[in-house]
Amino acid sequence: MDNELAILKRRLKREINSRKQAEAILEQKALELFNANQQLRSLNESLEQRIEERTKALEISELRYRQIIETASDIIYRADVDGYFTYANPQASTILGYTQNEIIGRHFMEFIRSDWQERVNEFYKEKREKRELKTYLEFPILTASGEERWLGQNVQLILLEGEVSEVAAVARDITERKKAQDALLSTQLRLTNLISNMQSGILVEDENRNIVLTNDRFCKKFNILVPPDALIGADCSGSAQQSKHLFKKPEEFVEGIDALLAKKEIKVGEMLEMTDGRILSRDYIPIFAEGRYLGHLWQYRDVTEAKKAEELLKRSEEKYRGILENMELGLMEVDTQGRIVRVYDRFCKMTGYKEKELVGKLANDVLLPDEFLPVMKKQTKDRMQGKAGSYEIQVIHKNGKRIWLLIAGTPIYDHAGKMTGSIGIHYDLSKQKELQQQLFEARLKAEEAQEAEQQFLANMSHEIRTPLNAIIGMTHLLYDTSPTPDQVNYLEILKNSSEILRSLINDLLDIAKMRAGKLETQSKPFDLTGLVKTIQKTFQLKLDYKAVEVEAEIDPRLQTLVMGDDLLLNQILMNLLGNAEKFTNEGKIGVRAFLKERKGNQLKVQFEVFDTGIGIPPDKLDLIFQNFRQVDGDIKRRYGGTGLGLYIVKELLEKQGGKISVHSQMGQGTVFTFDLTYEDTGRQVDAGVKKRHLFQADFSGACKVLIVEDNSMNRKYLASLLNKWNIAYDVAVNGKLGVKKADTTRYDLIFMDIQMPEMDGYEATIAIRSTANPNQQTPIIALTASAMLSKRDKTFKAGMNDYVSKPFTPVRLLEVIKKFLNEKKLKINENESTGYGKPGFLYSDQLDVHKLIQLYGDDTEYALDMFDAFLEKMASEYPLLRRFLAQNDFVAFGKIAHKIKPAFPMVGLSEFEDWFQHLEDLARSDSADQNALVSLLVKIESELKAKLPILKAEQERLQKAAGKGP
Amino acid sequence: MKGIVFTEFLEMVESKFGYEMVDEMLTQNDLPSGGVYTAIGTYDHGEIVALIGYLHQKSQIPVPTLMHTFGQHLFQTFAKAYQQFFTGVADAFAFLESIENHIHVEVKKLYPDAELPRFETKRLNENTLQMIYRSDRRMADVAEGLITSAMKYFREEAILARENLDESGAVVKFLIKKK
Repeated sequence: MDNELAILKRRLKREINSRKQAEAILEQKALELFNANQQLRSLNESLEQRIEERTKALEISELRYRQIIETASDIIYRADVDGYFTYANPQASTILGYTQNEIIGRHFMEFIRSDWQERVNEFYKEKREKRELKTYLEFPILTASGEERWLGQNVQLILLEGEVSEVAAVARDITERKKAQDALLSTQLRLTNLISNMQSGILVEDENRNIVLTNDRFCKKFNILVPPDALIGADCSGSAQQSKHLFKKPEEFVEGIDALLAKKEIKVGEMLEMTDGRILSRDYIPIFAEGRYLGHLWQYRDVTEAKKAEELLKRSEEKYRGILENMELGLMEVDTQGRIVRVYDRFCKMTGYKEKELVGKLANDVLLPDEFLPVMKKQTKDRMQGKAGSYEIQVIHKNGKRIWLLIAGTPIYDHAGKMTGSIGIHYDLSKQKELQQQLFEARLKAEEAQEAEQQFLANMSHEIRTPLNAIIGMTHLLYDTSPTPDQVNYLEILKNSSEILRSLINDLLDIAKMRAGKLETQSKPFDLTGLVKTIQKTFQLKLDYKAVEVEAEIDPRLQTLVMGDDLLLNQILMNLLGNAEKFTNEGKIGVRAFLKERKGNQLKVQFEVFDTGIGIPPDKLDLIFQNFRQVDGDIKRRYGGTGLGLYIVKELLEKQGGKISVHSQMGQGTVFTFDLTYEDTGRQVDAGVKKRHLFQADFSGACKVLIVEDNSMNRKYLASLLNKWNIAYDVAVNGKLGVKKADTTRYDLIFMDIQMPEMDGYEATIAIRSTANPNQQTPIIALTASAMLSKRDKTFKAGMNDYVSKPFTPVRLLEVIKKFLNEKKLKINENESTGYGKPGFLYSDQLDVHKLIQLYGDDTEYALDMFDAFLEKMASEYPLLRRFLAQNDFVAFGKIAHKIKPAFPMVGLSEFEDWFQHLEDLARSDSADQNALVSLLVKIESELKAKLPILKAEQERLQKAAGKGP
Repeated sequence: MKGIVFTEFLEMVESKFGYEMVDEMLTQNDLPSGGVYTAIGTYDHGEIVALIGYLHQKSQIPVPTLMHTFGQHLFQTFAKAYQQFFTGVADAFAFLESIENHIHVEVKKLYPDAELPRFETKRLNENTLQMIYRSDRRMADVAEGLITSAMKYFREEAILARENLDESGAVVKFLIKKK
């Protein structure tokens, strides 16, 4: 109970406190309300005072406006309805020069300049009647000091109950602006005067075609009788119609003007012809300002005089053109685009066209065949650069035929120096061209005829040689038939005559070959020094019977192998030395070779062939190189010869780019000098030999080869190489047997000699290629002694695939075999020989050991085979040489020599090869001489006899080394 | 804090727990006002926190539940005492929107020193109202009770979603979606 009571007591206390708290708050709020009320009341009371304050502020504001008015830079004034000033600001006083009091009460008209008073009065009267409340007017006034000033005045009519009660005005001093305007106006006036006084007739129209300006000249030109000023403002739209009768082409005149007005583009320099003969030049210039069309200006100038002068010039031009036309020269003018501007009668006649068919067309389109376009283009380019030029082209006549024209073209310019096109003078060349063509054809025919003649000559020479050789052979045989002294005498004549004939034919044959271009130069490495020395030796042998020394002097710097044609050089030197020998009875003849110049690997070698003979008279020096010319008839009688030798030399030299010169003194001797350029291989003659490789190859019997060769040495050599390389082979000793073999067995490769009895290599190849047999596609390699291009061609023509020149080396042979045999079948081991340094078989130092090692290495069996073959061959073939020589059958002699020759190096007798080459050359040369051959052969025989025991000894030693007892 | 919050809180405690509880709360807590409140007075906010905290201790009812219930109670009182704020209000959303822009403006006129929570409202669509509560007093639970009672008052059913926009609970977003 106590607790409840206590709580109750506390609650009561809280309620009381709470009520008191609320009362206090309410009392506070009530006080706030009272204060707010108090404030409201006092606000009401101050209202009156505030109105008073605002009124005062308004007055201040009015004062401010007044100040603005009073300090304004414009005149501000008020006037009553009748125009008397009621107020004027200080600026009015400043401008007008009167005090404000002086102004107020006066009439505004009093200040206006007298000549304007009426106008101003009228203006305001009218505006007032119309009740325009706001107006603007500019007028001049006079100030107190009498100075004139311009005002721009805004006037506001102030209405009161619908009636004008007052006028308020703001006037600005615009004197400065007016002055500027006046200045502009006077400028305009001056321009107008200028135009009026211009020499041209000027007419300026506005956009509505009303005249703005014109001048005296214009009126005069158009026969207008009123003064120019009177025309201002007049409508011109009908004027063209009115004045058209003045012009030769009245309708064109009117249309022209209409067109110009429609287009509104500048057009100057139009020419108008008038009925009275005058010519006017007209310019039309539209006037635009800021893109807006404002009218236009016409300018007419009298150009009658200038036109007349131009006409005169034109006539004179025409005169010259007429002259050119009469000279059968056609004229045509084109513009820079190539469009025809003008053509003249003669040109029309040339091309068959009428003038109107050409003018306006592109000349190239109408007249030019396509293939001449490039020529024309080049010419056009030249013209554009201001160059004149002449050229020949074909042009298509209207009838479709072509004519040849010679054209001289030149650019033409206008008076300002600008190129306007070009003019061409055309001359018809067709007849000349036809003639030229005929001449060309005639020349072609003549050349063909000459060709045929040379062919004939070549053929004939060849045909003549065969019976001639028979005659010579028979003559030699007749010597052995114990002829009587008379008969011997006849035989001598017969022999000499036939020999001269043969040498003549040989020369002719050479010339024919040269003329027909069948003589080829070929380039291969050769030993220059060796060649010259060989020739020297040959002549030494030949001249044994004469008291003449043969010298050879060679520059020691020419020891390397050089690239060039050794055969041609040989022929040249042989011919020149032959010539020297012929005219030298005692003293010496010889060859000198010097290195004249070296450029990189190009060696320029100077050769001299000299003699101490009879010499050549100075006046004949230039004759000697002509064909069939000798110094004189006496020479021919005394020394014989055909007179072709030196000509041939000259031709051969020229073929190789050389030139011959001659220096001679009568009774002292002659020197022939020429230069030839060779390429230096850089290889020493000897070193080249040493560097060769021995080839060892093994073909493991996988393929089979056929050898067709009549020469047993070659056959054996080839066979032993093939044996070494394990290549199986068959052998045929002539073409006929070769073809037979090829019919039955399939071969991988065929080696074919060219010159063989029964059937030669060409025939055999053709037979294999053209009949059905297993070897129709088999590669055939020619074994040829000649590298002459024509022969090579012939081998290819016959169907052979390649050739190997004799004497062939193992390297070359292997190269060819590898080229044509399937690589898979080949297992070739190319090993550098170890034979050089190794102690193997030692050949006698009497032989060419180098060559022997190079050929055989340490293969003694192979060497033995070759030695056996050589000794056999010598025994059988050598005696033939003597027999043919005795018969004077140089051809057969040469053949045998040629056949034996390559066998010598095979047994280490290399030097014999050269000697046999001389034998062969001598036998074949035009000056073949039994005596010389005999002496050379005897010399060779004695050498050979000395060598034979050595060879036999070597053969025995080889047998032992190869394990084969004798 | 306006005195009406205190008087109404004590009114509610008395009706739910009896005056003994009211007396105990006022006696046991050291209150600057001495436990004397009048609806038009203004008192320290800490006092209501202390009173709610004490009630929670005594009753073991979670504070949010207490505050929520108080919110509902407060609404009933307002609805009875300030009928002028409900006349012409079409529905619950219109009423909730009028709190910030109308009711609080009127309160401020009478009590310029009153510190009132802010209610920013935004209609996301026809049936959804977003209401953001901002007050350093962190009495969003009371606000929630007020909102649920308002919905009930207008006989409208709605789902109420609530999201604290800051850690302290001073900014709270309510999404009210009508069913």
